[in-house]
Amino acid sequence: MKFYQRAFKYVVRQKKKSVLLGSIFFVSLFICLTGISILRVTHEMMENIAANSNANISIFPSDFFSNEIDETTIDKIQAMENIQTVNRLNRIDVPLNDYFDMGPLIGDVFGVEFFFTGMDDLSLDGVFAHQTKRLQAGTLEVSGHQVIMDAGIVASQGWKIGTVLPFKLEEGDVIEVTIAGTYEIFDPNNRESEFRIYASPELVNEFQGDELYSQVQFFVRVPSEIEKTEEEIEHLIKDTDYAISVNDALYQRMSSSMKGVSSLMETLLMVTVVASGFIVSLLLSLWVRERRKEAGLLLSIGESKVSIIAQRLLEVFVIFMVSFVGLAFTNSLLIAPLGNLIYGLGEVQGLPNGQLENPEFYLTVLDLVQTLGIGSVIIFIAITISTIPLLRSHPKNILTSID
Amino acid sequence: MENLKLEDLKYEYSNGQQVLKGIHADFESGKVYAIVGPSGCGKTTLLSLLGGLDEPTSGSIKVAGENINKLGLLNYRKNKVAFIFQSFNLIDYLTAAENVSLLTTESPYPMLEKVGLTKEQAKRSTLQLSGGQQQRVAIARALMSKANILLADEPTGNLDEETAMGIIELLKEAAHKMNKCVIVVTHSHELARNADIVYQLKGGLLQITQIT
Repeated sequence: MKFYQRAFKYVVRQKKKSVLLGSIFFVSLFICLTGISILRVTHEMMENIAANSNANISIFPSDFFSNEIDETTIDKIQAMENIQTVNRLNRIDVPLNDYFDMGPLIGDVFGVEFFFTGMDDLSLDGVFAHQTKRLQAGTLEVSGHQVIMDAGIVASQGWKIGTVLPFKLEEGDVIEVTIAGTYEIFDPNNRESEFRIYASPELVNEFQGDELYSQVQFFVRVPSEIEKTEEEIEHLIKDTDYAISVNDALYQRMSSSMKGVSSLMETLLMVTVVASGFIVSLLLSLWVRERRKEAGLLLSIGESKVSIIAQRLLEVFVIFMVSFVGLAFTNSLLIAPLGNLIYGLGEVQGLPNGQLENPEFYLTVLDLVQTLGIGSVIIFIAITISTIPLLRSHPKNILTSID
Repeated sequence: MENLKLEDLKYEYSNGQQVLKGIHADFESGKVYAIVGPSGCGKTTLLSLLGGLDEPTSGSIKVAGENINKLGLLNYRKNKVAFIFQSFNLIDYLTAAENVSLLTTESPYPMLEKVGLTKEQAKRSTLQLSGGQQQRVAIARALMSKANILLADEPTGNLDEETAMGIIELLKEAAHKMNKCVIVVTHSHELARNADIVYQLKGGLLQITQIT
């Protein structure tokens, strides 16, 4: 009779022991699989948060509205490893070099000033990102001489998307801009029009005749390292009077609850693995001791210690695999409610503005493979510990201790 | 015919005590040998050496002229010797028939019938058999193996008189009719009386005390 035949007969006929061991595997690996799955989802969400939270470091001069930050400083900071994107902001008042109908009570005005705000990406920060204003028509992605204007102003003047407007430089030159979009103030109680224009920073630089900025936002790649990046930037600008502002409140808020869940799951996983390893080792050690007589007999008929240990390993592995199939099926049904329960307890939510959806909990092949790996390690360690006495014993001593 | 030959066999425990002090003996097929001696004289140690479960401090054990160390102890235990224990040593999660099949792929039922078990008894778990029946299963297992040398350590020690006689008869049959070399370590006078040759182990040496 081969060792695997003996192994299968043992598992089938020693039902109580098989069920006991199988139950221990089921419970401990269920917890492991749940923990692994939730940890995976949590890590995915953390990455998503890091990518979508727009954590950034802003630098601005002491005179908040003056354009003082130069491209050299920006280039140095942008070259840092943790800097992903840059959003430059500059401002200038420019007179419209044309008649402007202020309305019947005021009359026509020549050279009325508009307040230009230049920004690389209007969707990253500012009024449109924070939804105090919204795009009514056209596009937010302006470049070159394209601008976005107040919809009320545009309508009152009979302008539209595509209208070209002349603006006057200090030297007297004129730069023509094209209306590419119109905006309105989001607050329905505030219907006042405003003389603000949103454009690219390059257009503002053209007006001011220099490449200078009043604020630069440096969006980081890895929000968890923002403090280190802040120190590096502080060092770079130490000879200037620029101030630094770290903006990662959203990331901190989102990630703190995630970190709580992650920490809990990691602790639970570790405790479960250690505890189940200990329990399985203890159980197997007791059972191997009970089967000393069998081991002695098998040695006396010419079976090797390796074959005896292989039989023990196969017995445990068969029970483990049966439990594993059961727990995989059960976990696939329960992982979603369990995950939502744990996230609910940890008060984890999606990002505002729907940027990050609520998590979906499900099992992946990788989760199952990792759990299988953990279970196999537990079995291997437990079998090794439990069979050390057998490995160290002399066949004669085993048999003489029986009789 | 495979003879078992012991040449100047010595054995020393790890504490330095020498228990076998140079044993010379020849065991032939077709005979029942009984080894007797007081408790602690080294009978079980001698049997362990004969069974390839341990190695002597010096001297040699040869089967059919070949040193068992050269054969390999695992190979020797698998193919040349078979054990019968005092406490039967059957595997309790296997049936009687499956215990016999540990060493062979042939059907165990004819041999089990020969040692006095019915087919119905052969299909039972060993825990459902009496002591005598279990020992018969152990003997059947030993007889079903390829081994020509049967080593029995107090095979009747846990049995009543009547059952013990049945076992003794089986061992005699194994030797005389199946040409096995049967070596029995025993305290039983009855078993010693039924052996062909009786050795006494005393003072670490083996002496013949009876030849039938």
